[in-house]
Amino acid sequence: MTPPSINSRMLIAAGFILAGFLSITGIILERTYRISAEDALKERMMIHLSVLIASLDQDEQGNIHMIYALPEPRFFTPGSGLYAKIIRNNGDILWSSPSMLGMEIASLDGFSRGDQQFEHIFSASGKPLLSLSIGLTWGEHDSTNEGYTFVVIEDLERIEQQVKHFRHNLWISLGGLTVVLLIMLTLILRWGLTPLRRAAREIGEIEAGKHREIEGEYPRELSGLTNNINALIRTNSEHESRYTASLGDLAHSLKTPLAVLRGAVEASDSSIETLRKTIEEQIQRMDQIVQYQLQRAATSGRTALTAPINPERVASKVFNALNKVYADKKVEGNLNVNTTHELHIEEGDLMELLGNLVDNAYKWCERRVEITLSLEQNPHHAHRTTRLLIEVADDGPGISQQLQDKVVQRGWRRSEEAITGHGLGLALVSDIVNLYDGELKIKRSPLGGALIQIYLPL
Amino acid sequence: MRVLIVEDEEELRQQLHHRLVGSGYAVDVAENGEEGKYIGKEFPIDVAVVDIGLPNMSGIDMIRKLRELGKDFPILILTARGRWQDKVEGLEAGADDYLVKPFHMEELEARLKALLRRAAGVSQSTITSGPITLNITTQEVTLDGTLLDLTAYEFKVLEYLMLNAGQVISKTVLTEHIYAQDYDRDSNVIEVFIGRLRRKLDPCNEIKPIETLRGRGYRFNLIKE
Repeated sequence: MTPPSINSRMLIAAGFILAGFLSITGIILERTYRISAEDALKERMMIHLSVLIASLDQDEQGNIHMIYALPEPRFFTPGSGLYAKIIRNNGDILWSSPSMLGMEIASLDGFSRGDQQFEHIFSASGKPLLSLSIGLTWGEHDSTNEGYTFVVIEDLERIEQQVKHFRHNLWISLGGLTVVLLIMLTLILRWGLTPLRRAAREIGEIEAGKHREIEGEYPRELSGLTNNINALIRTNSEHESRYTASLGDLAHSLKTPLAVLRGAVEASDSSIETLRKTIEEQIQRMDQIVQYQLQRAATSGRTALTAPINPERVASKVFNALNKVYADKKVEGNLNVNTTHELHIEEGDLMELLGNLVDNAYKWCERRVEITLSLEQNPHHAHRTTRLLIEVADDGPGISQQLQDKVVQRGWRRSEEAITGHGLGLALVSDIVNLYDGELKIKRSPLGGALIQIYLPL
Repeated sequence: MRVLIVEDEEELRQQLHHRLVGSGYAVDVAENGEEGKYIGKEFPIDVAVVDIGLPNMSGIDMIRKLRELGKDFPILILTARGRWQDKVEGLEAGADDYLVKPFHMEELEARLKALLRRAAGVSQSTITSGPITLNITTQEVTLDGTLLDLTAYEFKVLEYLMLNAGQVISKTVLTEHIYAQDYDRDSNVIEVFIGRLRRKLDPCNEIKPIETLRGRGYRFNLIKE
């Protein structure tokens, strides 16, 4: 199963987050609305109660009379939802509003003076109601027994209706908002992911052979990726042409020794000894050709993705390995590393370069080999860039001027030559140095033998 | 001297086997890393020739495992790829020298001899003890400059004793280093070789180069000039 697209991942995630966020907002809003509606109701009930109390007075016999008519007509309309009762604290109902006609509502009584309480109750028929009870006494009478409990009851159905209505509107608006936000997000995503889509299309076109590289301008987040893809494509095609060239050279240069061998086999007059000698010579030649061309093809070269390496680590490895191999020769080898700077070079290439140079030095030296790694300012370069300088010096016979000229000269068809001794290693070193835009110098060393200097850009 | 060859290519393995047996080595062969590791672990090998590119367990892994097991005999690696990365990796794993394919058999033998000498702490190709001189490369032994006529097995016994001069070498050890794994051994043969060597090296019974330590073995005592 293919994994979901970035677009749908973002939309699914955003959808969940929005739904969660808006649900919580909705619940909070609904609860707040209900609380404030109930608060308003309670305030109204307090007013009703105050009006009810104000409309009463006590006569000389201590009986309570309604001296004003109540201004609220709902008290007089049966089933209006607003009810009131006055209960003497001995249990007698002194007065109940005409709106309570035919209804039975149990409510609290027996409140002492000054006590008041809101309570959620239900009518006998199961309607939700809110009651406000308050305890009162008249004049000097202070005992609870002679007091009255005034009760105002309001039907909660109206509030429920309001809340329901509010909830309905709320969820419709929040749902609408979610849809609008998701649509906006989709559009934003589409716009944001346009460069990615374009890059994918361009890569598709490269695959189809319509383009060689990714060409358009890309935002900062993607330009690293597209530049690296371009670098990879370039490196790949360089590798490919190097392989092709090496294979071509290999095939071409192997033909000559093969022709010599065939000639030798077909020559009827040659002795076994001559034949053996010819075969031996040609095997050696073919071996060198194969070795040189294959190693040249295997050289990686600098790419945008080459991780920096510590040249000291590689040099030490090569140095230790060669000290082991040449243990019998008792070479006084010295490795001096005067830099900790890292180098953008493929490890195998640096090892090949150092391996060949140091191996040659150990092979040809009398006793002493000096290997030095240091940093050097390039005097020829306008910006005086810093380069890594690798110097390998020995006290051997040195390198002939003829070989020096051949190695330094570019485009030397080395595969055509019989390469031996210093030659094969130096030819490979020269190739690697060229690949990294470096410089190779051959000098006479203060020790008496050859001094090879390699300059590599960092 | 007992040499282990680990090479998966049959033709080359046989050529190496044939050549080294011809040169007087006791030769054990293995065609993969597992087998090579087993032989290297279980038998007293003096030197090994290991191809890096083996199937399953690579030559480098095999060398690493043998070194982990404390086996310190010298190892020469054969590599088809001439890349320095491979050579350095092999040498880091514990090999002592390398040879790139294709190679000359003379070169291989010279390297093996150098490794054996190095392992024995001898730097030249000749070992001299008073009037006796043994040349590892030419496999010749002279007494006061006169070439002695030794058989291949007599030479092997003398070479092993002289390379390990001063040490007591038991008959079993001597047999194991002279004969390959699948050889039917008879330790009496060693006594016969020692007897003949004594007669040839010391006809007048003056210098007594090979000492017998009863129940323990033999010791070659170097005479410094």
